[in-house]
Order: sequence, then C-alpha cells, then structure tokens
Amino acid sequence: MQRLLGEVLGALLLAVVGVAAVLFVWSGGLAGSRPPPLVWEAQQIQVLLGRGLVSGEQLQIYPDASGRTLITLPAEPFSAEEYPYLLVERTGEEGAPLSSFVWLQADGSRDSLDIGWAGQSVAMLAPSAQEGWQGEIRQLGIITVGHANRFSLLRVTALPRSPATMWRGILQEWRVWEPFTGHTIHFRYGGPEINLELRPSVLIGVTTLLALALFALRRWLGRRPPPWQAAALIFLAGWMVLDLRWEGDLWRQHAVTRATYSGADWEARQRAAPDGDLFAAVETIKKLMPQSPQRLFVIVTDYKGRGEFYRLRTLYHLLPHRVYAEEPVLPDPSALRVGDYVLRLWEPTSVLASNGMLRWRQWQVPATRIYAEENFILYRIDAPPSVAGSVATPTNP
Amino acid sequence: MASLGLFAALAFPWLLGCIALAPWWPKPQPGRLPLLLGYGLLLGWALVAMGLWVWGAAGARFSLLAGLAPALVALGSGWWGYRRMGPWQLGEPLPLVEREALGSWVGLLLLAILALRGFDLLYELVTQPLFAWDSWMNWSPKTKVWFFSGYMEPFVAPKEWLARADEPLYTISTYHYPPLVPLMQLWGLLGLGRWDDTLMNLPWWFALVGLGLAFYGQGRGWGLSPLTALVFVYLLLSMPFIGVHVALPGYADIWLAAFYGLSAMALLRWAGDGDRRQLVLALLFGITCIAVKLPGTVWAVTLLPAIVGYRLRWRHLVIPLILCAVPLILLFSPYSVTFDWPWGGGEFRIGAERLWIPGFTQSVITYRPVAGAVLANTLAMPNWHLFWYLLPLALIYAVLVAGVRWVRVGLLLVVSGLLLLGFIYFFTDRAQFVTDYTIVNRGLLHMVPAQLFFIALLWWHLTGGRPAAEAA
Repeated sequence: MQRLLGEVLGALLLAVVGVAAVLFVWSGGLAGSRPPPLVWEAQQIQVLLGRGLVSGEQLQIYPDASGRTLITLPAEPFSAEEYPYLLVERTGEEGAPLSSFVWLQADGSRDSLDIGWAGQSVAMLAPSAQEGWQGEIRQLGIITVGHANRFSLLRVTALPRSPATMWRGILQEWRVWEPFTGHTIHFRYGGPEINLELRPSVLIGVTTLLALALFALRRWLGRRPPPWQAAALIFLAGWMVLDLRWEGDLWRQHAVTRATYSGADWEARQRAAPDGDLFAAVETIKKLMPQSPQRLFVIVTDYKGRGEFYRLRTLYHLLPHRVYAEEPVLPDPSALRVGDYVLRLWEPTSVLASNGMLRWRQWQVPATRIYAEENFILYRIDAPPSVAGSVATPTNP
Repeated sequence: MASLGLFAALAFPWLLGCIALAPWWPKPQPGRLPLLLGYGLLLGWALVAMGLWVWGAAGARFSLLAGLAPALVALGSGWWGYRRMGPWQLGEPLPLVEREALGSWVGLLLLAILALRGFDLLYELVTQPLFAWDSWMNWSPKTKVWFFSGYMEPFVAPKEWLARADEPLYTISTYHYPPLVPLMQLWGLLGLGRWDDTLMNLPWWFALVGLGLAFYGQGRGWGLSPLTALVFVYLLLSMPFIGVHVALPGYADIWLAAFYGLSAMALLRWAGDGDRRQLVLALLFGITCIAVKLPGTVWAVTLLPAIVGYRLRWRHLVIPLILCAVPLILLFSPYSVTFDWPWGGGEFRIGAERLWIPGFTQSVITYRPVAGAVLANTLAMPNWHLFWYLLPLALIYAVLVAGVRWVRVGLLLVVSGLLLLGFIYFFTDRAQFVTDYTIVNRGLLHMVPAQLFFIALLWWHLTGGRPAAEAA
C-alpha cells in the first residue's frame, strides 16, 4: 500500500511540477523584465454614453434611456502582445450589466470580447485569445447594453504576461461558479466564455495524462514496475479534483434553489419562477374561460426571438386548452371558429385590435375583449371572419 | 395519501421488472442482485409506459389499471423463466467479498460521494419547477393534456390541426415524438392523483439509480472486482452532464442513454461468454431505444455491426464494410436514389450530397468544420470531467488487443457510434446545433455509458483478467 501511494504521489508530483514549469516558461517567467500594469482608476475612466459620477473609489455609471453606456479608458497606444490580460473590478452591490470590451487597433479595425461576470465582482479576460488582439491597441473601452440600473466600476487593469497573472486567472476561473441557466441542459461553460486560456479541465486533464505517461515510463523501464492500480489512482485523483469543483457548484446551486423555492407548494414555486408573472396571468385567464378545453390562438411580438419563449411557455401553461402558437398571425379564416379565443401578448402588430375587431392580413373578425392586463389581452371570437373593410355581421353564438 | 400513491406508482415498475427478470437468473453469481435491480427498474418503466400506450390507444381512460397488462407480461416472463431455469436460489444478497471491498476506506468514500451526489440531484429535481426548455416544450405538453383529459388525446401537425378545426385535437411542433417519456411521467401522476410537473419527473432519478446498479451488476458478472466496478460506477454517475439531466429533468436523453447503455452492456456480456440471456436483454433494450426518442432508431442500428461482428473475423468484415461504403459513395456521387418513405411523411432521398429521411432529417451533406465546438465541449468545458481524455487511450489499447472477440465487438459498437455522431455533426445540417452547443453533448450522452462499460472491460483485460470464453 505504501509503495502504491508512493508511486501515485510521485507521478502526480512530477506531473504537476512539469506542467507548472511549462506554464512558468510560457507565461514569460524567464523574461528579464516586463512592462508595468496599466491601471485605470475610477476617476480616470470616461463615460461617453450615459452618465458617470465619481464617488470615492467608485465610478457610478448611469445608462442612457435605452440602457446603454459607452466607457473609454484613455491611454497611450500599447502593445497587445505585452498585455494579454484585462481585469475589470466593480462593486458587487448592483447587478452586472451585459458588457463587452471593445478596442481599436492601429490599422483601424475593431474587435470586442464579452465580459462574463458569472455573478462575480471581478472579471478577468484573456483578449489575447482573440485574433483581433494584436499589434498596437489605440483605444480601449467598455460598452454595456440592456441594463437600466446604475452599476459601479472600481478599476480596469491591463496586465502583462507573468506567471503571477496567469495563476491569478487560473484560480479565478476555478472559483467562478455558474448557476443553472437555460443552456445548462446543453452544456456548462464553468466560467466566462473563453475568458481565459487555461480551463481547469484542460489543466487537470493534461497533468493527469502526463502523470500517466510517467507511470507508463516507470512500468516500461523499471525493474520493479509499479502496479496497475497506481494508474487507476492517478486517473481517479485527477477526476476527483474536478468532481470536487462540481460538488461545490451543486452546493452553491442548492443555496439559490433553496432561497427561491424551498418550502413552497407547487403553485407558489410556479409564481416564484422567472416566468411567474406569465403563470399568474395565464391562471387568471384560464379562470375566465370555460373549464372544458377551448381552442385558443397565441399571438406574440418577436415570434422567433424573445417572443419564442413566451409563446411556447404560454402554450404550456394554457394546457389542457387546445392552443395554437405556431404562427405570429392568425390563420386563414377557414381555420377559425366562433367561440375560439385569441391571446395577444405585447400588442403584436401582426394582429391589430380596434372597434371590436381583430384585423390581420386582409381579414377581420369580430371579437370581444375578455381580459386585459398590461401585456396580455384575451379575446373571444364572436362571429365568422370577413374581408377587412366589409361590414361584419355577427352570428348568434 | 397522495404521497403513498406516488410511492406505490414509483415502486410498481421496479417490482414488475424484477419479477420479469429474476427467474432467469436463478443461480447466485457475482453482481446478480444489482443487475436484476438495475435492469428490472428500467425494464419495468418501459413495460408500464408501453402498457399505458396500449391502454390509451385503445381509447380507455387512463388509470393505474393500465398496469395490469404489464403486470401480466412480467408475471408471464417470470413464470417462463421459472419453468426454464428452475427454482430460484437465494444466495447472499451481499457476499463477503462485496462487504469487504465496499467496506474499505476507498469503497466507503465512493459510496458516500455517490450518496451525496444522489441527494444533490434529487434535491434539485424535487425543488425546482420544470425548467429545461424541451421538457415543457416537447415532452410534458402531452403529459399535461393526457393527465387532465384522462385520455390519450391525439396530437397532430399544426397544419392538420388548422384543417380539422372541428375535431378535438392538439398540436405542438414536435407532435410526432414518441410517447414513451410522457407516459412515464403520466404514470407517476396517476399515483399522485394531482398535477405536479416537478414530482412527475422522479423517474429520472430512478433512471440514474438503475443505470448505476446495472453497470455494477454487469461489471461484477463479467469479473470486475467489487471495488473496480464501484469505481467505474462512480465515474459514470459523477459526470456533470449526466447529473445535469437528472437535476433538470424532463428530457428524453438520459433515458436513451440508459436504454442504449444497458443494451450495449448486455451485448458485450454476450460477446464475452455467449450467455443468450444477455443477447435477449441487448435486443430488448435496443428495441426500446426506438420508442424513447427519434434518434433511438439510429442508435439501435449501431448495435447491428457489433452483433454481426461477433461471428466474423476481421477479414470477414470486409464485405460488410464495402456494403456500408456503398451509401457513402452514393451520397457524394452526382446520382441519387429516391422512394416514398414507407412510414409516410414524404420522400426518402440519398445521393448528390442530399440525405432526406422523413421525420428525421433533410440535409445537404457536406463537410462542416465543427471540430472546435466538439473539442471545447469534451475536453475544455466542465461537462464530462476526464472521460474524453480516457476514451482515446482505451481505444488505442482496444485496437492492440482486437484479436479478442469481445474486444472486436466492443470496438465495432463504439466506433459505429462515434462514426454515426461524427457524420451527423460534421456532414449534416445538424452542424449548426453543434456550433451553438445545443446538441453536441446530448448526442454524446447517449453513448457514454456504453463506452465507459467497454473501457471497464478493457481495464480488466489490461490488468490481467480473462473472461471465460475468449476466442482469438
């Protein structure tokens, strides 16, 4: 057993040292000198779009009416190769805006890199992984979109390549946590997308493979070849390091899940979900409709974009009514029946409502408004459709 | 009372499956109990879902009585097994060798981690509302309608729904998906007695448990030591992407992975010792793949090269390889073959860089450079731990020892799966869903349990184990 553990630890230690040595050289550890970091403190950052207010060490940034800001970091041009990393620090009190670094190169070309906050107040990026981060960088800035609230920046730093910077980035990537989101069922990033060059999985994978290679060499060359169990333990050690991180991620997820849903009954959990408003509205709408399944058309703005989630989610909540949500507009009149319902979300322009009529393409149909609440308006069709502009005559229901 | 009903509904399929299978393994052998529990659990769910399918298709109102037919099938299988194989011998539920290994510090550590992981995933499953997109868009709408209606209301294509406006029909864009998964959800709801789109997904957790038990049982039956088998079960169940599909339930992929994995494990066992019971299990679970998800048909087909390869030596595989090359040559030639698809839905076409399979794909076949996306998801992103670092090493070893018959069978199984996915990812229109990362891991998920079992057997071979029947 002692020999086994000795073989395992020896191989792992050598592999770790080997990988660390390679990373040390790769990150410029043997370089004689390196440039100092470029630091932009709060008072040095300029807000070109939106409004900025320096308060102590923070720059409080207020987006414009459309939720956008443009921030520049004034500086002399600098070499992209000398500064492969960017560090952005903000206060953690407010939510993180969708933001990107943008830069202008000497030849006039621009490029950008999304800043993945991942719930953190510090984001470290490696724009050097982008093709556009090369040569001389003339201008550097940050843009944010879709964020109506104030947020604050503390400082932005361009870091030179060094072992310390590289390890800082690796550790930050390791600590970053990704909650369950819409894409988790398809993949997990494990951290900001391509923010840093050395993902934990790759580091652990390469180290494990190197340790296994050393083990194989020992078996091939040694007079007393180590037992195969040593290889299993080496591999298991690498696996468990990554699994420890996954377990940690799950526990952090539990905290979020518990805070949002724990102790609540089924209906309370639906209302606490991100589409809780939609669920509540649909439950109200269902109470206004007969209990037996009714035919219902869901019409939504931005049918394939943001609207896709809402039309399909509305369909799901409306079941077991017979819902049709496949088109952004009402179908041909032959498919409509008196007594059918139409639910308009966000005032879609594809189906207009006025004077007791719903109008789409060249058609119109008399419809009674049953329910109206902000973004949800429910109608019941009262009579067969007719060509728009003609005098519609309601039939007896 | 509702909880009791739910518990009974969840236990019933497990019981059924075990009754169906247990008499076929009357003699004590390593791993018998977990094998029967694992295969029994998944077989039971398939039986119950199919029983509901027949019940619903016959126009009967859904109720727990739909479990009668599956119960009869299970009892019939059990009775037949008893008559063929003789009385069941109890043996030790947990033999000494198992107790010693699992009681060691490594064994206890792994069991503790597995128990903790099971709790983690179960906690998320029962606490979060139905979350993942396809769960509530593709699969659960049918469950919801059938539960509230009480009948197997028909789902048709959107255009047909519009055209038949006076009929009580339903429509979603994925109306043609197989009903097995919604029926599994429905069974739990019938026991619970009320709508709950969280608790209806408890079978997903059980699918993971069944997969782990089956893996352990098959590994032990092959000859893996208890600790080795447990280590591989830990590797399987600890992969983040597999865990995610239980924590965020409602997709069919974990079921397809489980059924395909159990089929493949049984196939490899058959290839190793010629046990025909394993071949029957392999075929049974392979066919069930077809009823789980549309791609299940294609996965079931990948079992064929492995079955054929059991009998053939390498030189005999030339003819099947040539036969497989014919459609590929046709695909990239200027000529094409077309005919009406026998199952409706349009025209089948292959050739001139077009592949049209109604209901499955209508694709222009040309190379798409998606290697970056595949490598990122397998090696760099935290989806699979170190699995994809291990598989190439294992395949290299497998090629070196391909003279062994079961290794050949395993290689054919794994390689045909990889070629299938490689073709779909790199040469069809599905590549767009690879570059946006939405299908790359889910496709891989289907074959990972099978591949890991093959790796376990290769490890056993590498470290000096030898199966009972090893033909050169």
